[in-house]
Amino acid sequence: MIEGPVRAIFGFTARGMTCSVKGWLFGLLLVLPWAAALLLRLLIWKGVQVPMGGVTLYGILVLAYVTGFLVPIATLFFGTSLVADEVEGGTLPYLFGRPLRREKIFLAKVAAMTVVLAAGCWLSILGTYLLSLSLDGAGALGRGAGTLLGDLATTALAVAAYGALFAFLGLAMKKPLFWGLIIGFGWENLVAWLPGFLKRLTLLFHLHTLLPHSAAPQGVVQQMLASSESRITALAFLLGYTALFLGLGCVLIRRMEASAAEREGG
Amino acid sequence: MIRVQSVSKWYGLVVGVNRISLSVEPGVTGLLGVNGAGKSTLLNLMAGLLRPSSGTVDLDGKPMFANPEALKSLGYCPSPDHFYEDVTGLEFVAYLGRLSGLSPAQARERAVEACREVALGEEAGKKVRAMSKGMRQKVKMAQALVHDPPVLLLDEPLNGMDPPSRAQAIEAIRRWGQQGKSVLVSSHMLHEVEAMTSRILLLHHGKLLASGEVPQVRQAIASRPMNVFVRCADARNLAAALITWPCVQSVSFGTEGKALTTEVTDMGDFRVRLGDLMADRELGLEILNPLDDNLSAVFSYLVA
Repeated sequence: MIEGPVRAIFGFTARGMTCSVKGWLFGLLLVLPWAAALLLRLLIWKGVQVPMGGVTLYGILVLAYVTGFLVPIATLFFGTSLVADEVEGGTLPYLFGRPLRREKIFLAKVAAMTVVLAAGCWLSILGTYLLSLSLDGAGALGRGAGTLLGDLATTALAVAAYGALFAFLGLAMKKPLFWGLIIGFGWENLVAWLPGFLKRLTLLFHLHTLLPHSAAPQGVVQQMLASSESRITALAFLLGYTALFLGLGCVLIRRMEASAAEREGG
Repeated sequence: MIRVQSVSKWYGLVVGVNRISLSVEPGVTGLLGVNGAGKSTLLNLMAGLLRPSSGTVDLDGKPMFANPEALKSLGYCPSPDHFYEDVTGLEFVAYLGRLSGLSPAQARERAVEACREVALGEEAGKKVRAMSKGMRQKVKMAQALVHDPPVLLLDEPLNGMDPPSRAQAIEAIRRWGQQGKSVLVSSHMLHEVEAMTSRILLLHHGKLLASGEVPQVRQAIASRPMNVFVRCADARNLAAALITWPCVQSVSFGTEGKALTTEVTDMGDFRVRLGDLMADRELGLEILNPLDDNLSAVFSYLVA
Protein backbone atom coordinates (compact mmCIF):
# COMPACT_ATOMS: atom_id res chain seq x y z
CA MET A 1 0.00 0.00 0.00
CA ILE A 2 1.46 3.34 -1.06
CA GLU A 3 1.27 6.04 1.60
CA GLY A 4 -0.98 9.07 1.07
CA PRO A 5 1.83 11.65 1.11
CA VAL A 6 3.77 9.66 -1.49
CA ARG A 7 0.67 9.48 -3.70
CA ALA A 8 0.20 13.22 -3.26
CA ILE A 9 3.76 13.98 -4.39
CA PHE A 10 3.40 11.55 -7.27
CA GLY A 11 0.20 13.24 -8.46
CA PHE A 12 1.50 16.76 -7.95
CA THR A 13 4.73 16.03 -9.82
CA ALA A 14 2.93 14.32 -12.70
CA ARG A 15 0.48 17.20 -12.97
CA GLY A 16 3.33 19.71 -12.90
CA MET A 17 5.13 17.85 -15.67
CA THR A 18 2.16 17.63 -17.99
CA CYS A 19 1.08 21.23 -17.44
CA SER A 20 4.49 22.80 -17.98
CA VAL A 21 6.17 24.29 -21.05
CA LYS A 22 8.61 21.39 -20.89
CA GLY A 23 5.63 19.04 -20.94
CA TRP A 24 4.26 20.63 -24.11
CA LEU A 25 7.67 20.44 -25.80
CA PHE A 26 7.91 16.78 -24.82
CA GLY A 27 4.47 16.30 -26.37
CA LEU A 28 5.73 17.79 -29.61
CA LEU A 29 8.77 15.51 -29.62
CA LEU A 30 6.47 12.52 -29.12
CA VAL A 31 4.59 13.09 -32.32
CA LEU A 32 7.62 13.70 -34.54
CA PRO A 33 7.96 9.97 -35.44
CA TRP A 34 4.31 10.02 -36.42
CA ALA A 35 5.07 12.88 -38.77
CA ALA A 36 7.99 10.91 -40.25
CA ALA A 37 5.79 7.85 -40.82
CA LEU A 38 3.07 10.00 -42.36
CA LEU A 39 5.64 11.62 -44.64
CA LEU A 40 6.82 8.21 -45.80
CA ARG A 41 3.22 7.23 -46.52
CA LEU A 42 2.73 10.44 -48.47
CA LEU A 43 5.86 9.82 -50.55
CA ILE A 44 4.78 6.26 -51.35
CA TRP A 45 1.30 7.48 -52.24
CA LYS A 46 2.82 10.07 -54.59
CA GLY A 47 4.77 7.27 -56.29
CA VAL A 48 8.19 8.33 -55.02
CA GLN A 49 10.67 5.46 -54.70
CA VAL A 50 11.72 5.23 -51.04
CA PRO A 51 14.62 3.00 -49.93
CA MET A 52 12.82 1.53 -46.90
CA GLY A 53 9.60 -0.13 -45.89
CA GLY A 54 7.46 0.32 -42.79
CA VAL A 55 9.39 -2.16 -40.63
CA THR A 56 12.69 -0.46 -41.41
CA LEU A 57 11.31 2.98 -40.71
CA TYR A 58 9.84 1.80 -37.42
CA GLY A 59 13.16 0.23 -36.46
CA ILE A 60 15.06 3.42 -37.20
CA LEU A 61 12.60 5.59 -35.32
CA VAL A 62 12.59 3.42 -32.20
CA LEU A 63 16.29 2.70 -32.12
CA ALA A 64 17.69 6.04 -33.22
CA TYR A 65 15.01 8.49 -32.24
CA VAL A 66 13.12 7.11 -29.22
CA THR A 67 15.86 5.30 -27.33
CA GLY A 68 18.76 7.27 -28.81
CA PHE A 69 17.33 10.75 -28.47
CA LEU A 70 13.84 11.15 -27.03
CA VAL A 71 14.33 9.13 -23.85
CA PRO A 72 17.74 10.63 -22.94
CA ILE A 73 16.69 14.20 -23.72
CA ALA A 74 13.33 13.97 -21.92
CA THR A 75 14.77 12.28 -18.84
CA LEU A 76 17.67 14.73 -18.87
CA PHE A 77 15.43 17.78 -18.72
CA PHE A 78 12.81 16.36 -16.38
CA GLY A 79 15.14 14.26 -14.23
CA THR A 80 17.75 16.89 -13.47
CA SER A 81 15.04 19.38 -12.54
CA LEU A 82 13.04 17.10 -10.22
CA VAL A 83 14.71 18.45 -7.10
CA ALA A 84 16.73 21.28 -8.67
CA ASP A 85 13.51 23.12 -9.60
CA GLU A 86 12.37 22.93 -5.98
CA VAL A 87 15.72 24.35 -4.89
CA GLU A 88 15.64 27.07 -7.55
CA GLY A 89 12.02 27.90 -6.84
CA GLY A 90 12.60 27.98 -3.09
CA THR A 91 9.85 25.44 -2.45
CA LEU A 92 12.08 22.71 -1.02
CA PRO A 93 11.56 23.86 2.61
CA TYR A 94 7.84 23.14 2.20
CA LEU A 95 8.63 19.53 1.34
CA PHE A 96 11.49 18.99 3.76
CA GLY A 97 9.53 20.59 6.58
CA ARG A 98 6.88 17.86 6.39
CA PRO A 99 6.87 14.62 8.41
CA LEU A 100 7.88 12.48 5.47
CA ARG A 101 11.12 10.64 4.81
CA ARG A 102 13.08 12.54 2.21
CA GLU A 103 13.90 9.35 0.34
CA LYS A 104 10.18 8.92 -0.27
CA ILE A 105 9.92 12.43 -1.66
CA PHE A 106 12.73 11.66 -4.10
CA LEU A 107 11.41 8.25 -5.10
CA ALA A 108 7.84 9.53 -5.53
CA LYS A 109 9.09 12.26 -7.85
CA VAL A 110 11.22 9.84 -9.87
CA ALA A 111 8.30 7.41 -10.11
CA ALA A 112 5.99 10.16 -11.37
CA MET A 113 8.52 11.21 -13.98
CA THR A 114 9.09 7.62 -15.09
CA VAL A 115 5.37 6.92 -15.46
CA VAL A 116 4.63 10.13 -17.37
CA LEU A 117 7.62 9.83 -19.71
CA ALA A 118 7.17 6.09 -20.28
CA ALA A 119 3.48 6.65 -21.05
CA GLY A 120 4.41 9.39 -23.51
CA CYS A 121 7.07 7.23 -25.17
CA TRP A 122 4.68 4.31 -25.41
CA LEU A 123 2.15 6.53 -27.10
CA SER A 124 4.79 7.66 -29.54
CA ILE A 125 5.95 4.10 -30.26
CA LEU A 126 2.41 2.76 -30.65
CA GLY A 127 1.46 5.52 -33.08
CA THR A 128 4.68 5.02 -35.02
CA TYR A 129 4.11 1.28 -35.10
CA LEU A 130 0.60 1.65 -36.47
CA LEU A 131 1.53 4.28 -39.03
CA SER A 132 4.74 2.56 -40.17
CA LEU A 133 3.91 -1.12 -40.25
CA SER A 134 0.53 -0.63 -41.87
CA LEU A 135 2.54 0.42 -44.93
CA ASP A 136 3.51 -3.23 -45.30
CA GLY A 137 -0.06 -4.48 -45.00
CA ALA A 138 -2.33 -5.41 -42.11
CA GLY A 139 -0.51 -8.71 -41.61
CA ALA A 140 2.69 -6.86 -40.72
CA LEU A 141 1.00 -5.34 -37.71
CA GLY A 142 0.26 -8.77 -36.26
CA ARG A 143 3.69 -10.16 -37.12
CA GLY A 144 5.46 -7.31 -35.41
CA ALA A 145 3.49 -7.49 -32.16
CA GLY A 146 6.28 -9.29 -30.34
CA THR A 147 8.77 -6.66 -31.42
CA LEU A 148 6.40 -3.94 -30.32
CA LEU A 149 6.01 -5.42 -26.85
CA GLY A 150 9.76 -5.78 -26.54
CA ASP A 151 10.25 -2.18 -27.61
CA LEU A 152 7.67 -0.96 -25.10
CA ALA A 153 9.30 -2.88 -22.26
CA THR A 154 12.80 -1.75 -23.22
CA THR A 155 11.67 1.87 -23.53
CA ALA A 156 10.11 1.77 -20.08
CA LEU A 157 13.35 0.36 -18.74
CA ALA A 158 15.31 3.06 -20.59
CA VAL A 159 13.14 5.77 -19.05
CA ALA A 160 13.64 4.26 -15.59
CA ALA A 161 17.42 3.93 -15.99
CA TYR A 162 18.06 7.33 -17.59
CA GLY A 163 15.52 8.92 -15.24
CA ALA A 164 17.36 7.54 -12.21
CA LEU A 165 20.72 8.66 -13.62
CA PHE A 166 19.62 12.22 -14.31
CA ALA A 167 17.61 12.53 -11.10
CA PHE A 168 20.78 11.55 -9.24
CA LEU A 169 22.82 14.09 -11.23
CA GLY A 170 20.21 16.71 -10.37
CA LEU A 171 21.03 16.13 -6.71
CA ALA A 172 24.76 15.59 -7.00
CA MET A 173 25.88 18.32 -9.40
CA LYS A 174 25.77 22.09 -9.27
CA LYS A 175 25.13 22.31 -13.02
CA PRO A 176 23.19 19.09 -13.60
CA LEU A 177 21.97 19.98 -17.08
CA PHE A 178 25.49 20.57 -18.34
CA TRP A 179 26.83 17.36 -16.83
CA GLY A 180 23.73 15.53 -17.98
CA LEU A 181 24.37 16.59 -21.57
CA ILE A 182 28.00 15.52 -21.29
CA ILE A 183 27.07 12.13 -19.89
CA GLY A 184 23.84 11.54 -21.80
CA PHE A 185 25.04 12.55 -25.23
CA GLY A 186 28.82 12.47 -24.90
CA TRP A 187 29.84 9.55 -22.76
CA GLU A 188 26.84 7.40 -23.66
CA ASN A 189 27.21 7.78 -27.40
CA LEU A 190 30.99 7.59 -27.54
CA VAL A 191 31.79 4.88 -25.05
CA ALA A 192 28.96 2.55 -26.09
CA TRP A 193 30.89 1.95 -29.31
CA LEU A 194 34.23 1.16 -27.77
CA PRO A 195 35.45 -2.42 -27.57
CA GLY A 196 36.17 -4.01 -24.22
CA PHE A 197 34.46 -3.63 -20.88
CA LEU A 198 34.09 0.15 -20.83
CA LYS A 199 30.94 0.13 -22.95
CA ARG A 200 29.19 -1.77 -20.17
CA LEU A 201 29.41 1.43 -18.18
CA THR A 202 26.85 2.99 -20.49
CA LEU A 203 23.11 2.50 -20.45
CA LEU A 204 22.85 2.68 -24.23
CA PHE A 205 24.90 -0.45 -24.79
CA HIS A 206 22.63 -2.56 -22.60
CA LEU A 207 19.48 -1.00 -24.01
CA HIS A 208 20.52 -1.84 -27.55
CA THR A 209 21.11 -5.40 -26.46
CA LEU A 210 17.53 -5.57 -25.25
CA LEU A 211 15.83 -3.95 -28.23
CA PRO A 212 14.23 -6.86 -30.11
CA HIS A 213 14.05 -5.67 -33.68
CA SER A 214 17.01 -5.55 -35.97
CA ALA A 215 16.18 -3.80 -39.20
CA ALA A 216 18.78 -3.90 -41.94
CA PRO A 217 20.48 -0.47 -41.53
CA GLN A 218 20.87 -1.00 -37.83
CA GLY A 219 21.97 -4.59 -38.05
CA VAL A 220 25.66 -3.79 -37.99
CA VAL A 221 25.18 -1.27 -35.24
CA GLN A 222 23.23 -3.71 -33.14
CA GLN A 223 25.73 -6.43 -33.78
CA MET A 224 28.58 -4.21 -32.64
CA LEU A 225 26.71 -3.10 -29.60
CA ALA A 226 24.90 -6.17 -28.48
CA SER A 227 26.68 -9.23 -29.61
CA SER A 228 28.92 -9.48 -26.58
CA GLU A 229 26.31 -9.91 -23.86
CA SER A 230 23.09 -11.75 -23.24
CA ARG A 231 19.76 -10.06 -22.66
CA ILE A 232 19.68 -11.32 -19.11
CA THR A 233 23.03 -9.67 -18.45
CA ALA A 234 21.83 -6.45 -20.09
CA LEU A 235 18.68 -6.49 -17.97
CA ALA A 236 20.71 -7.13 -14.82
CA PHE A 237 23.06 -4.26 -15.64
CA LEU A 238 20.20 -1.84 -16.32
CA LEU A 239 18.32 -2.79 -13.17
CA GLY A 240 21.55 -2.60 -11.21
CA TYR A 241 22.37 0.87 -12.55
CA THR A 242 18.84 2.08 -11.86
CA ALA A 243 18.98 0.79 -8.30
CA LEU A 244 22.45 2.28 -7.83
CA PHE A 245 21.46 5.76 -9.01
CA LEU A 246 18.25 5.71 -6.97
CA GLY A 247 20.17 4.53 -3.92
CA LEU A 248 22.78 7.26 -4.30
CA GLY A 249 20.00 9.82 -4.82
CA CYS A 250 18.38 8.66 -1.59
CA VAL A 251 21.66 9.03 0.30
CA LEU A 252 22.17 12.55 -1.05
CA ILE A 253 18.66 13.78 -0.37
CA ARG A 254 18.82 12.38 3.15
CA ARG A 255 21.86 14.55 3.86
CA MET A 256 20.71 17.57 1.88
CA GLU A 257 20.08 20.90 3.55
CA ALA A 258 17.22 23.11 2.42
CA SER A 259 17.41 26.73 3.33
CA ALA A 260 16.14 29.79 1.56
CA ALA A 261 17.97 31.88 4.14
CA GLU A 262 21.34 31.40 2.48
CA ARG A 263 20.03 32.70 -0.80
CA GLU A 264 18.23 35.64 0.71
CA GLY A 265 20.76 36.67 3.29
CA GLY A 266 18.37 36.37 6.23
CA MET B 1 9.19 21.67 23.71
CA ILE B 2 11.76 22.59 21.10
CA ARG B 3 15.25 22.91 22.52
CA VAL B 4 18.38 24.38 20.96
CA GLN B 5 21.60 23.46 22.74
CA SER B 6 24.84 25.25 21.98
CA VAL B 7 24.07 25.32 18.27
CA SER B 8 26.39 26.86 15.71
CA LYS B 9 26.03 26.97 11.97
CA TRP B 10 28.85 27.99 9.65
CA TYR B 11 28.70 28.51 5.92
CA GLY B 12 32.37 28.06 5.15
CA LEU B 13 34.05 30.88 7.03
CA VAL B 14 30.83 32.78 7.58
CA VAL B 15 29.09 32.24 10.90
CA GLY B 16 25.32 31.94 10.59
CA VAL B 17 24.58 31.42 14.27
CA ASN B 18 27.07 31.03 17.05
CA ARG B 19 26.63 28.77 20.11
CA ILE B 20 22.99 29.51 20.71
CA SER B 21 21.03 27.79 23.45
CA LEU B 22 17.34 28.39 23.99
CA SER B 23 14.01 26.67 24.37
CA VAL B 24 10.61 27.67 23.09
CA GLU B 25 7.77 27.19 25.52
CA PRO B 26 4.00 27.42 25.05
CA GLY B 27 2.85 30.90 24.16
CA VAL B 28 4.27 33.42 21.74
CA THR B 29 7.97 34.24 21.71
CA GLY B 30 9.42 36.94 19.52
CA LEU B 31 12.74 36.42 17.77
CA LEU B 32 14.20 39.83 17.14
CA GLY B 33 17.16 40.90 15.14
CA VAL B 34 18.19 43.15 12.32
CA ASN B 35 18.51 41.75 8.78
CA GLY B 36 21.39 39.29 8.69
CA ALA B 37 21.32 38.68 12.43
CA GLY B 38 20.80 34.94 11.87
CA LYS B 39 17.07 34.69 12.54
CA SER B 40 16.25 32.70 9.43
CA THR B 41 19.24 30.43 9.89
CA LEU B 42 18.17 29.71 13.46
CA LEU B 43 14.59 29.00 12.36
CA ASN B 44 15.82 26.76 9.54
CA LEU B 45 17.89 24.84 12.08
CA MET B 46 14.87 24.54 14.35
CA ALA B 47 12.69 23.42 11.43
CA GLY B 48 15.09 20.58 10.65
CA LEU B 49 16.05 22.04 7.28
CA LEU B 50 19.66 22.75 8.19
CA ARG B 51 22.05 20.46 10.00
CA PRO B 52 23.84 22.19 12.89
CA SER B 53 27.62 22.48 12.47
CA SER B 54 27.78 21.82 16.20
CA GLY B 55 25.25 21.45 19.00
CA THR B 56 21.79 19.89 18.89
CA VAL B 57 18.23 20.89 18.08
CA ASP B 58 15.48 18.60 19.32
CA LEU B 59 11.77 18.56 19.85
CA ASP B 60 10.71 16.57 22.91
CA GLY B 61 14.04 14.77 22.74
CA LYS B 62 13.81 13.92 19.03
CA PRO B 63 16.53 15.45 16.83
CA MET B 64 15.03 17.79 14.26
CA PHE B 65 17.17 17.42 11.15
CA ALA B 66 15.31 15.39 8.50
CA ASN B 67 13.38 13.54 11.20
CA PRO B 68 9.72 12.86 10.29
CA GLU B 69 8.87 11.93 13.88
CA ALA B 70 9.89 15.38 15.14
CA LEU B 71 8.48 17.22 12.12
CA LYS B 72 4.99 15.88 12.87
CA SER B 73 4.72 18.41 15.69
CA LEU B 74 6.06 21.36 13.74
CA GLY B 75 4.62 23.95 11.40
CA TYR B 76 7.09 26.18 9.59
CA CYS B 77 6.36 29.35 7.67
CA PRO B 78 9.46 30.35 5.67
CA SER B 79 10.31 33.97 5.03
CA PRO B 80 11.01 34.03 1.28
CA ASP B 81 8.08 34.58 -1.05
CA HIS B 82 8.28 31.23 -2.83
CA PHE B 83 5.35 29.09 -3.92
CA TYR B 84 4.02 26.65 -6.44
CA GLU B 85 2.48 29.44 -8.46
CA ASP B 86 0.03 27.56 -10.66
CA VAL B 87 -2.21 26.24 -7.91
CA THR B 88 -4.81 28.01 -5.82
CA GLY B 89 -4.05 28.99 -2.25
CA LEU B 90 -6.41 26.30 -1.02
CA GLU B 91 -4.80 23.63 -3.21
CA PHE B 92 -1.36 24.68 -2.00
CA VAL B 93 -2.35 24.39 1.64
CA ALA B 94 -4.25 21.12 1.09
CA TYR B 95 -1.30 19.59 -0.80
CA LEU B 96 1.06 20.34 2.06
CA GLY B 97 -1.58 19.05 4.45
CA ARG B 98 -1.52 15.76 2.58
CA LEU B 99 2.25 15.63 2.94
CA SER B 100 1.68 15.93 6.67
CA GLY B 101 -0.30 12.72 6.58
CA LEU B 102 -3.86 14.01 6.24
CA SER B 103 -6.26 12.14 3.97
CA PRO B 104 -7.46 14.05 0.87
CA ALA B 105 -10.78 14.89 2.54
CA GLN B 106 -9.13 15.90 5.83
CA ALA B 107 -6.57 17.98 3.97
CA ARG B 108 -9.27 19.90 2.08
CA GLU B 109 -11.26 20.44 5.27
CA ARG B 110 -8.23 21.52 7.28
CA ALA B 111 -7.01 23.76 4.44
CA VAL B 112 -10.32 25.64 4.49
CA GLU B 113 -10.09 25.94 8.27
CA ALA B 114 -6.46 27.11 8.21
CA CYS B 115 -7.22 29.70 5.52
CA ARG B 116 -10.10 30.94 7.67
CA GLU B 117 -7.79 31.11 10.71
CA VAL B 118 -5.51 33.53 8.88
CA ALA B 119 -8.46 35.50 7.48
CA LEU B 120 -7.73 34.58 3.88
CA GLY B 121 -11.42 34.40 3.02
CA GLU B 122 -12.50 34.06 -0.59
CA GLU B 123 -8.99 34.89 -1.79
CA ALA B 124 -7.95 31.33 -0.94
CA GLY B 125 -9.58 30.14 -4.16
CA LYS B 126 -7.36 32.37 -6.32
CA LYS B 127 -4.24 31.12 -8.09
CA VAL B 128 -1.22 31.92 -5.94
CA ARG B 129 0.44 33.83 -8.78
CA ALA B 130 -2.53 36.22 -8.85
CA MET B 131 -2.38 36.99 -5.13
CA SER B 132 -1.02 40.11 -3.47
CA LYS B 133 2.07 39.83 -1.24
CA GLY B 134 -0.07 40.05 1.88
CA MET B 135 -2.35 37.25 0.73
CA ARG B 136 0.63 35.10 -0.15
CA GLN B 137 1.98 35.64 3.36
CA LYS B 138 -1.33 34.39 4.74
CA VAL B 139 -1.16 31.30 2.51
CA LYS B 140 2.29 30.56 3.95
CA MET B 141 0.94 30.90 7.46
CA ALA B 142 -2.02 28.66 6.63
CA GLN B 143 0.23 25.88 5.30
CA ALA B 144 2.19 25.93 8.56
CA LEU B 145 -1.05 25.54 10.47
CA VAL B 146 -2.85 23.00 8.29
CA HIS B 147 -1.93 19.90 10.30
CA ASP B 148 -2.55 21.66 13.62
CA PRO B 149 0.99 21.33 15.02
CA PRO B 150 1.75 22.25 18.64
CA VAL B 151 4.90 24.15 17.59
CA LEU B 152 4.86 26.96 15.03
CA LEU B 153 7.94 28.67 13.61
CA LEU B 154 6.99 31.80 11.68
CA ASP B 155 9.76 33.61 9.84
CA GLU B 156 8.83 37.26 9.29
CA PRO B 157 5.18 36.39 8.70
CA LEU B 158 3.93 39.97 8.58
CA ASN B 159 6.19 41.12 5.73
CA GLY B 160 4.26 42.78 2.95
CA MET B 161 0.91 42.81 4.73
CA ASP B 162 -1.26 45.91 4.76
CA PRO B 163 -2.26 47.29 8.20
CA PRO B 164 -5.62 45.48 8.47
CA SER B 165 -4.07 42.16 7.43
CA ARG B 166 -1.21 42.79 9.83
CA ALA B 167 -3.67 43.32 12.68
CA GLN B 168 -5.54 40.13 11.75
CA ALA B 169 -2.31 38.16 11.61
CA ILE B 170 -1.13 39.52 14.96
CA GLU B 171 -4.49 38.62 16.48
CA ALA B 172 -4.25 35.09 15.04
CA ILE B 173 -0.70 34.59 16.36
CA ARG B 174 -1.74 35.76 19.83
CA ARG B 175 -4.71 33.41 19.71
CA TRP B 176 -2.49 30.41 18.84
CA GLY B 177 -0.27 31.31 21.75
CA GLN B 178 -3.26 31.47 24.08
CA GLN B 179 -4.41 28.08 22.78
CA GLY B 180 -1.16 26.61 24.14
CA LYS B 181 0.86 26.37 20.96
CA SER B 182 4.54 27.23 21.16
CA VAL B 183 4.90 30.00 18.60
CA LEU B 184 8.24 31.51 17.68
CA VAL B 185 7.85 34.57 15.45
CA SER B 186 10.81 36.32 13.92
CA SER B 187 10.83 39.94 12.93
CA HIS B 188 13.10 42.92 12.61
CA MET B 189 10.17 45.24 13.36
CA LEU B 190 10.11 45.87 17.08
CA HIS B 191 6.58 47.16 17.29
CA GLU B 192 5.27 44.04 15.52
CA VAL B 193 6.74 41.72 18.11
CA GLU B 194 5.70 43.99 20.93
CA ALA B 195 2.12 43.75 19.71
CA MET B 196 2.23 39.97 19.94
CA THR B 197 4.22 39.23 23.04
CA SER B 198 6.49 40.56 25.73
CA ARG B 199 8.65 37.43 25.65
CA ILE B 200 11.59 37.93 23.35
CA LEU B 201 14.86 36.51 22.09
CA LEU B 202 17.32 39.05 20.78
CA LEU B 203 19.72 37.90 18.11
CA HIS B 204 22.64 39.90 16.79
CA HIS B 205 25.51 38.82 14.56
CA GLY B 206 24.46 35.20 15.03
CA LYS B 207 24.57 35.39 18.81
CA LEU B 208 21.74 35.32 21.29
CA LEU B 209 22.09 38.67 22.97
CA ALA B 210 19.29 38.39 25.50
CA SER B 211 16.11 36.48 26.25
CA GLY B 212 13.14 36.85 28.56
CA GLU B 213 10.31 39.32 29.20
CA VAL B 214 11.02 42.81 27.92
CA PRO B 215 11.20 44.41 31.38
CA GLN B 216 13.42 41.57 32.63
CA VAL B 217 15.73 42.00 29.71
CA ARG B 218 15.80 45.67 30.38
CA GLN B 219 16.62 45.00 34.03
CA ALA B 220 19.51 42.81 32.96
CA ILE B 221 21.25 45.75 31.41
CA ALA B 222 22.40 46.87 34.80
CA SER B 223 25.22 49.05 33.60
CA ARG B 224 22.95 51.28 31.56
CA PRO B 225 20.74 53.86 33.25
CA MET B 226 17.02 53.87 32.53
CA ASN B 227 15.21 57.05 31.65
CA VAL B 228 12.18 57.66 33.83
CA PHE B 229 9.65 60.37 33.12
CA VAL B 230 8.03 61.92 36.22
CA ARG B 231 5.30 64.51 36.36
CA CYS B 232 4.25 65.98 39.69
CA ALA B 233 2.84 69.18 41.18
CA ASP B 234 6.09 70.04 43.02
CA ALA B 235 8.75 69.00 40.54
CA ARG B 236 11.47 71.30 41.91
CA ASN B 237 11.34 69.71 45.39
CA LEU B 238 11.24 66.24 43.87
CA ALA B 239 14.32 67.03 41.77
CA ALA B 240 16.12 68.27 44.86
CA ALA B 241 15.50 64.94 46.59
CA LEU B 242 16.29 62.80 43.55
CA ILE B 243 19.66 64.37 42.98
CA THR B 244 20.87 63.14 46.38
CA TRP B 245 20.01 59.47 45.70
CA PRO B 246 22.86 57.18 44.64
CA CYS B 247 20.62 55.36 42.16
CA VAL B 248 19.97 58.57 40.24
CA GLN B 249 22.56 59.70 37.73
CA SER B 250 20.98 62.89 36.43
CA VAL B 251 17.81 64.92 36.45
CA SER B 252 16.57 67.19 33.67
CA PHE B 253 13.50 69.38 33.50
CA GLY B 254 11.11 69.36 30.59
CA THR B 255 9.66 72.43 28.93
CA GLU B 256 6.81 72.57 31.39
CA GLY B 257 7.89 73.01 34.94
CA LYS B 258 5.96 70.04 36.32
CA ALA B 259 7.76 67.34 34.31
CA LEU B 260 11.24 65.96 34.63
CA THR B 261 13.26 63.07 33.25
CA THR B 262 15.74 61.25 35.39
CA GLU B 263 18.44 58.70 34.56
CA VAL B 264 18.17 55.81 37.01
CA THR B 265 20.89 53.17 37.47
CA ASP B 266 18.96 50.91 39.87
CA MET B 267 15.24 50.84 39.20
CA GLY B 268 14.43 48.72 42.26
CA ASP B 269 16.17 51.09 44.66
CA PHE B 270 14.56 54.06 42.88
CA ARG B 271 11.04 52.69 43.34
CA VAL B 272 11.61 52.03 47.06
CA ARG B 273 13.04 55.50 47.70
CA LEU B 274 10.32 57.19 45.65
CA GLY B 275 7.65 55.31 47.60
CA ASP B 276 9.17 56.46 50.88
CA LEU B 277 9.43 60.03 49.64
CA MET B 278 5.81 60.11 48.55
CA ALA B 279 4.76 58.80 51.95
CA ASP B 280 6.78 61.58 53.70
CA ARG B 281 5.93 64.55 51.51
CA GLU B 282 2.97 65.77 49.50
CA LEU B 283 4.61 66.21 46.09
CA GLY B 284 1.52 65.53 43.99
CA LEU B 285 2.90 62.70 41.82
CA GLU B 286 0.83 62.40 38.63
CA ILE B 287 2.83 60.25 36.20
CA LEU B 288 5.75 57.86 36.65
CA ASN B 289 6.72 56.35 33.30
CA PRO B 290 9.88 54.32 32.60
CA LEU B 291 10.68 55.48 29.06
CA ASP B 292 13.03 52.65 28.21
CA ASP B 293 10.77 49.80 29.18
CA ASN B 294 9.87 49.08 25.59
CA LEU B 295 11.44 46.83 23.02
CA SER B 296 12.84 49.59 20.91
CA ALA B 297 14.95 50.95 23.72
CA VAL B 298 16.09 47.53 24.84
CA PHE B 299 17.08 46.63 21.35
CA SER B 300 19.01 49.77 20.65
CA TYR B 301 20.84 49.47 23.98
CA LEU B 302 21.78 45.88 23.35
CA VAL B 303 23.07 46.28 19.83
CA ALA B 304 24.72 49.61 20.40
